[in-house]
Amino acid sequence: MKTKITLFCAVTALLTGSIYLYSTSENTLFSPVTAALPEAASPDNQSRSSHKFAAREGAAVQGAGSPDRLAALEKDMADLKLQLARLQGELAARRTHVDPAADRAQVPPDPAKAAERIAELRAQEDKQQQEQGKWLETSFQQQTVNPNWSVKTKKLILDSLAADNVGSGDIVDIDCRATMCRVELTNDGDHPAPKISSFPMLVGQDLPNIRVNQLTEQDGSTTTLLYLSREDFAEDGGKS
Amino acid sequence: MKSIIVFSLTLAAFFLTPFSIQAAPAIHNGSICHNYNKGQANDLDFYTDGIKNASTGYRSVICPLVVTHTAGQTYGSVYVDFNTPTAFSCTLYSYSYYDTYLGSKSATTSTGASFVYLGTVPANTYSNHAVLCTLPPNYAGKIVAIESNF
Repeated sequence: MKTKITLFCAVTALLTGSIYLYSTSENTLFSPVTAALPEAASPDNQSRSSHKFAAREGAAVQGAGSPDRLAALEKDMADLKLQLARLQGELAARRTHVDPAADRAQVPPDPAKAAERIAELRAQEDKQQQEQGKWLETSFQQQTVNPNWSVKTKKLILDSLAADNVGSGDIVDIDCRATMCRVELTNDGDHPAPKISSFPMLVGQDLPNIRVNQLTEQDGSTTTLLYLSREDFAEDGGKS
Repeated sequence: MKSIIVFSLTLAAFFLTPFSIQAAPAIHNGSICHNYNKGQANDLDFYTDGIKNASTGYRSVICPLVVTHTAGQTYGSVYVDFNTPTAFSCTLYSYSYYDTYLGSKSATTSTGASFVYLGTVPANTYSNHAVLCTLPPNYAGKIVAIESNF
């Protein structure tokens, strides 16, 4: 009986692995490794393909045989348990996000319901943006001021906003610290925020990273906060 | 003991399979780009492998991206493939479906034939994205392709 159960489990594992290998692309084949790597590895222009290569190497090493079969299996089981725990965590986190394909497939034909669903989505995304905004503000407030950099960069921002037709009446405040600046813009009466088009290109050499947060004030007006940084922002909005 | 190990492996394989899939990158030939400023359409020259600036001054080109969002991913990035004797700058933009600017990332190419990474920018369920580049004059810079990862 024991032998039959063992055999059954081994065949099931083999079938599952075969189906997985057959149905996925090259990228997804190694995605448990590459899912964590791209944003860490790719800022280096030399490593665009290296993260894929490293994933292939890692998978090959994992699959290699070992003289002590039982010890190897026990080690594999421990590794898989760790991965399982991590993936369960990811799954729990992803359940709060919307699957675009599934969401579009489920949008009902009723326009009222479709509008309601879109409003729900917007509320979710606004909430995510607010959370990111809090993290950006905290990061900014933690910076001390580098006077030389601050003055020079503030002027660059002012000139670039003017070149992008953002009027001085829309600018509430510009504050630059050591590596980050915060630009506070208010609405122009016709749109929730002034239109930003060429401004990022104009400041891109000095401040290549920009994130945006929008606040609705008590009087119903909108304040737009641009956070500009010399350094990359964390993708997870500082959650890690 | 062995049966327990094999059963655990089976269980782990089951859980590993469906949740590690991410969207494949979308690769756009550089000829999708077009003039950003009105009246400059004739300043650009298109090729089967990209786009160049034929005029005597710098020209901005806008390259719209077709994006399929990976469920749960709140950021994205692109690689701009280039072939250029003169470095030029590009910016990746991110907008919400209700036309709100979410953020951007700028970078400058090197020279020669290579790629530059622009990332990351915020992304959400229906965000849309474009790359704006400023091409040097006199055929001195070519955008070959743009690979987007969202």
